[in-house]
Amino acid sequence: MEKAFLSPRLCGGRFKDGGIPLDVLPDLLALQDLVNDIARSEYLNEHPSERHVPPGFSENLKLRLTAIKPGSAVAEISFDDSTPRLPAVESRYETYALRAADTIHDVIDAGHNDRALPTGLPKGFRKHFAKFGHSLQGDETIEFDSPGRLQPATLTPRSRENLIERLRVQDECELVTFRGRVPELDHDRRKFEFWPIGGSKISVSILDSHRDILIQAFNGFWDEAKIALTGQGIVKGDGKLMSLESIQDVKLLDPLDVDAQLDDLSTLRDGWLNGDGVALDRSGLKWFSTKFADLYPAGLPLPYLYPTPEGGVQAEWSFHGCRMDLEVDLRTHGGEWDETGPGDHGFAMELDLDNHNDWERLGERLRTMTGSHS
Amino acid sequence: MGQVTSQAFRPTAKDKQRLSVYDGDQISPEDAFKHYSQKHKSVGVIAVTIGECDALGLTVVPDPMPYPEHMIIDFSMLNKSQTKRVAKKLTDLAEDRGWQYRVPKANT
Repeated sequence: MEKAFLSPRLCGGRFKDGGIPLDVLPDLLALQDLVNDIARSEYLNEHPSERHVPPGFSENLKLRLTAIKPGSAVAEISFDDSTPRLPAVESRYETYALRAADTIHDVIDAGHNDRALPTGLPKGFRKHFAKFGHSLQGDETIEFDSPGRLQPATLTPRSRENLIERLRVQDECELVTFRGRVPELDHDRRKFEFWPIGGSKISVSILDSHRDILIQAFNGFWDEAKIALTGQGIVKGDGKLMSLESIQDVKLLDPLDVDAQLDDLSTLRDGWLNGDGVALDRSGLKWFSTKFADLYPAGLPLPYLYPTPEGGVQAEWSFHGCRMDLEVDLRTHGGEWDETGPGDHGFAMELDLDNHNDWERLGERLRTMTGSHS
Repeated sequence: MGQVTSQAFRPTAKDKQRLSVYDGDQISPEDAFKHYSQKHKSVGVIAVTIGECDALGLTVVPDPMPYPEHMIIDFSMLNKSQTKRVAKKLTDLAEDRGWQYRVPKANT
């Protein structure tokens, strides 16, 4: 006697008499692909050192329609036991299959109750899910029961369409970080406006854990308070943020955050200086951002960054009558250091900013000028 | 952030070591801002005195050709490195004096 693994209940319309029309069978067949895909993904996530699932993995997750029971019509689906398996193997594979069933349940439930989609869905999920319930008509529904969930989740033609669209959006998402300001905060709607540097405002949901930071950023709007938002977002071909589907992290930035300053400089176009002024090279800015993050000595003050008319970056520091600047050529990666101090003090040097020793030399000058030798 | 770059007091290549400024005895900071903003972008006005320029070895001369309040700070006797340092000194002096006129934040 085979053990029923899933028992989706098909209700309404064509299922009222207890039968399942043959043209609905592809809907059920999609469950095979969904369970297999999710189970494989779960296995590989748990075994990061393995590139493939073990031989026979999919064979052990073969499903079959074993009965149609009344109510309107309950399709009883079981593991295919035509291939004999050791109990330990069976149990191991079934664990992944059960988790897959829970995931399918949670996706359907997210659509019906407008909740967030589960994270970490495998890449082909949307393609297979689009086949499940494809033939549902009018008032027909599928109540999907998972062994690990208390209540069934209901799939209707409408919630299915909604889910497929949401899954499409999720497929287009990538993990992104954008820096910008918070011009609006709506506690009632639990939404805030995020205005990425050089981009257009987008509406984003507020999570409780981020509320305090968002309030600080909103209150500091006129003082240029900025945040860095990391999450799953959709980015246009020109690099502009279109939407953020979920947020993983929000940070309030230092007023001199180097990446935020570089974002600002990246918005300049040719002619920015009264008709003169060369736009700053995007790849050069990225290079400088990486070098600064990797090689700028820890504990030293952050500089103000300005564009130069020639399309470079000038970093400036000033303390107690001392002024230091580093003129960075984004194409050659060379740097010109210059400092002035009390009286006639002056010192200049040329730096290769691909060389970590030269960043150390820069750090040494800064420590000398600021008197911080710790 | 309202911090002035020392480039503000450094002539660009196009300036040929002659930095254009307004004569504060002839025009107020706000009017200078309005005049400049007719053609160019600006966030405000900062200032140094002729005496401060003299002390740094810079000559300041009237040049009323483009408009009556136009003056030139002459850097022509300085090389690139000297120009950078003098520009830093002027920036220090201007920063100590503070903004003479500033665009309201809502308009920046």
